[in-house]
Amino acid sequence: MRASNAIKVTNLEKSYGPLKVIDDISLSVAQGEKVVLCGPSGSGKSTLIRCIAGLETRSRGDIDVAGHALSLDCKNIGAFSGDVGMVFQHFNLFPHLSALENLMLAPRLVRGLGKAQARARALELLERVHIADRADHYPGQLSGGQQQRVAIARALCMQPKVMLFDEPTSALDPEMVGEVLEVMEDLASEGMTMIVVTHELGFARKVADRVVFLDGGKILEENTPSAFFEHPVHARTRAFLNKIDHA
Amino acid sequence: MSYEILMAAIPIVWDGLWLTLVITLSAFVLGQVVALPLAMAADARSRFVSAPARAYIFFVRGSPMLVQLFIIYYGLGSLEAVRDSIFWPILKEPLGCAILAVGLNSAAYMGALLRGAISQVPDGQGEAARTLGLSPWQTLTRVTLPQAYRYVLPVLGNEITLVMKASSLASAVTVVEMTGAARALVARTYAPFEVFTVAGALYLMLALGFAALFRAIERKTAIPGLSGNDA
Repeated sequence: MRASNAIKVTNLEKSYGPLKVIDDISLSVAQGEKVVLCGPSGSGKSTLIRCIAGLETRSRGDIDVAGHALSLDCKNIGAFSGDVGMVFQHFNLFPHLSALENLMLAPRLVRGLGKAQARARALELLERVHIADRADHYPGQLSGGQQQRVAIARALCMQPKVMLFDEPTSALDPEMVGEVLEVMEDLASEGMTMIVVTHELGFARKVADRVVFLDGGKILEENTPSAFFEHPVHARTRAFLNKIDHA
Repeated sequence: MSYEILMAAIPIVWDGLWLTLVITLSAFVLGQVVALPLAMAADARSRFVSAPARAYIFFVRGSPMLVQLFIIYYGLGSLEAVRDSIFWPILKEPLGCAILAVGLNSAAYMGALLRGAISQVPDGQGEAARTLGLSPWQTLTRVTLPQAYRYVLPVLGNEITLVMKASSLASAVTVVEMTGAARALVARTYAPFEVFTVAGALYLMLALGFAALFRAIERKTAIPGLSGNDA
């Protein structure tokens, strides 16, 4: 039997009045699978990943993530308790806490770890994202790339079963994109289940097991990276890939 | 202007300093304690919660504090239900009424201010906290409020000075704080210029003290790397 699904989205729908931003999407992600979501702006990819993270309510459909069934109103998001790691476009680090304190906060409050234990885990993860030497710096003292690496480490501190990335490199200066993608590649090679919303097609080629193309709130096409990039089926996909490649 | 009267007035007005401090600090603390739930209530989703909070802020800020003090001290005391209630021990005392009036007034201003500060904290902060598994209460106390209070800190120093100045209204309901002490002395000496100048100078001294205190707190809690508060 195939490995159980880490994420299962069934007939997801979200509308603002008459506008359907997510139109009947079903998506399953197996344990350890890496899925890249791409598509033009307004295609619903960010909304989809935010729905899975429990940050966005939906009109109908089922969402199961990391063994938790998310209620329609997302009120039971507390049950996730860090099992679903989320990395944001704008990092969203806590500016009043140092990098180390950003990492220690949730393990201490949510998992009840002792100070020494939380600290040891935080330092280990900062090491893993190559930023241990900045542990006592505050977010405002770090570059965008450094902040995003700290944000990834902060999510990892909760030992998530699934990691969601919402355009993690879109807000970065070009020279900092590489250091963040590198950390994400490491994470992928360690077997983390990941959904990544990104326009970094190089990353998709290298890391993804599957690329999912969204347009108008629907999944238009999904395939392995090689098939997706070499032989896109839909005209919209081809047009999108042309635009991105020449950007 | 008589130098002797001026010097003689200092210790007498100084005697009221203690009560001025008591009113100022108690009212400030009361204001802070009430302001936070008030700010949260004003932004509550339920109208049954937000409407009374907003009405409170509107009415308190829209009428003179002296009138509010008279309502509390003379007005409430004329009601039998109030005289029979457990609040009577506080409400029958002019000092308690003064602290209540000034404190509840400060709460309305601070509530409006805090509400703005809380809404200034970006949504992404709460989202990050939620995905990390923090409860709404933990998110509020560990993420939102530490940032919101840093926004309002410069205004807090100003607020305690306003509360201190408002504490002089207590003299209108027989409390002998600095202004009350000064008025009593003027009645005896007929030297309003000297005596009130002494009172004003002492208030100014207190205000400088509060300002220094809050500047120190601001320096101590400044977030490194954020623009505007680098030392």
